[in-house]
Amino acid sequence: MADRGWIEGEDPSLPEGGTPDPGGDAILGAALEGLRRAAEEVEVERSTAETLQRSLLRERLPDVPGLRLAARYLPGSGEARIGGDWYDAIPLRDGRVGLVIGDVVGRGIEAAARMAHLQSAVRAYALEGLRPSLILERMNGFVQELESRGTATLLLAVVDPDAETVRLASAGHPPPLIVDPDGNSSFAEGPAGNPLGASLFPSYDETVMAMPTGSALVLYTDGIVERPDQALDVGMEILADLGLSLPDEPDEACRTLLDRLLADGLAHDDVALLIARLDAPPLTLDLVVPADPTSLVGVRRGLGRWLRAIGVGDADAYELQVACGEACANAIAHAYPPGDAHFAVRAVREGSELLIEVGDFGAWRPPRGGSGGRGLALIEQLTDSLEIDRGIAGTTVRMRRKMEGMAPS
Amino acid sequence: MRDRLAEVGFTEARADTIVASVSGDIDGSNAAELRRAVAERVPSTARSLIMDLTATTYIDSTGVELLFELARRLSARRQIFTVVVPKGSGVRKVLELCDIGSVAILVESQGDGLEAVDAA
Repeated sequence: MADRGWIEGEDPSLPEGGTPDPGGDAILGAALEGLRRAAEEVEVERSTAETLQRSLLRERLPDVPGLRLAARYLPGSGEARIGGDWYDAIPLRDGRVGLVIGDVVGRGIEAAARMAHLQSAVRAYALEGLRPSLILERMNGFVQELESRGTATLLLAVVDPDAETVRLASAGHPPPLIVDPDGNSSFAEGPAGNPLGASLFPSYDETVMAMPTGSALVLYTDGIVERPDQALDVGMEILADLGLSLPDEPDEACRTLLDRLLADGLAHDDVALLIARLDAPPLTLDLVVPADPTSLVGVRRGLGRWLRAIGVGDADAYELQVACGEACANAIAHAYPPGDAHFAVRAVREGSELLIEVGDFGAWRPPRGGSGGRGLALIEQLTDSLEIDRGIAGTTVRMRRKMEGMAPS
Repeated sequence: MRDRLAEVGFTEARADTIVASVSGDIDGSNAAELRRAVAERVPSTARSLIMDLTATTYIDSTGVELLFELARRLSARRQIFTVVVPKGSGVRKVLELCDIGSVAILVESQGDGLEAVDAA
């Protein structure tokens, strides 16, 4: 930290030429001591704010089938310029995901603490299933109610990987950049809306945009495009240009944007960046997930999206999701040593037939009454053939089903 | 963060009949908790429980097991168990394959469910 401050470097309060005269003026010495103490307090505030800020941001973004996510937060290099910017990704019902980026006006611990309130409130409203414009309305009321007043900007983007759309609503936040599958980049259109807390009765609009497979969405705070020596619109123009050659992998894309936009690698103001890319469904579906019941929904949605992409109808897709889900539940129920256990799901089309394999790395156990037996019976009823391969290294459940009317491969 | 996947809402269709409406997905991650939540809301004095799965988007064998367990509990107390599932839905197909009709009255709407309670 010290290398960023002026305590150990050039001291702007000193006359040119450097160090104070050791035998010099006692008043200057006391003044310097006071300055030094003030600087230490700033530094303590700064590191406290940074710790708070970092502890509030998700280190691991949620797994959403079909969507790759990466995010960064960088504290500002200026004095106590920490706090207030945040990103979030909230898995919603039906496989949609709510992406959030926001900027609380203010600095330091207070801004970081207010950001924490706002982050929780957005999550709560989003999980209620409210539409983005309504979430912003509620958030505006929430900000009005907070004891420490101040405004904030917030952008919500609800991505629906199945419908290949994104629904946007903004409260005074810079518009997201959308990079289409051909690599064309443009800023999302739509009204910017009132910042939260700026007006008693704001109204917020929603814009729905197509987000075809292969598109990327870049959400950011103004710290990445605005610098003391550069106006906001200039920075946005540079961002749009960089969008034209954005790396496919969101993590790499984040790195590239920060490298190119922050000239010296340091952010003057703090910066939050969140990039989402909608993946093309692969020819073969390959998933490896933790052996835990909470993995079931991700597998189900990933398989559903893949099946629809290859032309399988809703009713058939549903039945295959159930069959596969039962095989997964079986893999999860198998004894694993405690620790990091996973199972694998593979789906592939072989001519007019679909093959779904669920492989675990434990020993096969006969289902114990109850739903275990019922699950196996369901697989048998919903597929044309079921094989259980009990190997030494693990068990593989192989399910096949003839499909009519699949899109040609 | 853990996704609950499903929501359950309770209404009293009549003084003696509890309706539990489940929206969303029922799977191995939430079925046991859902069963407890529903069981707790049905007093021994109630005449019947209507489980409305009209807005249920997914059910697997653990969800089916939940229904069988509720059925056992209710039948021990001589309470009537009705399950509402629209025809032609995937959920209906899974319930029929598992023969839920052997332990519950399967109907297509809450109204039909109330009629079934009266007729029982």
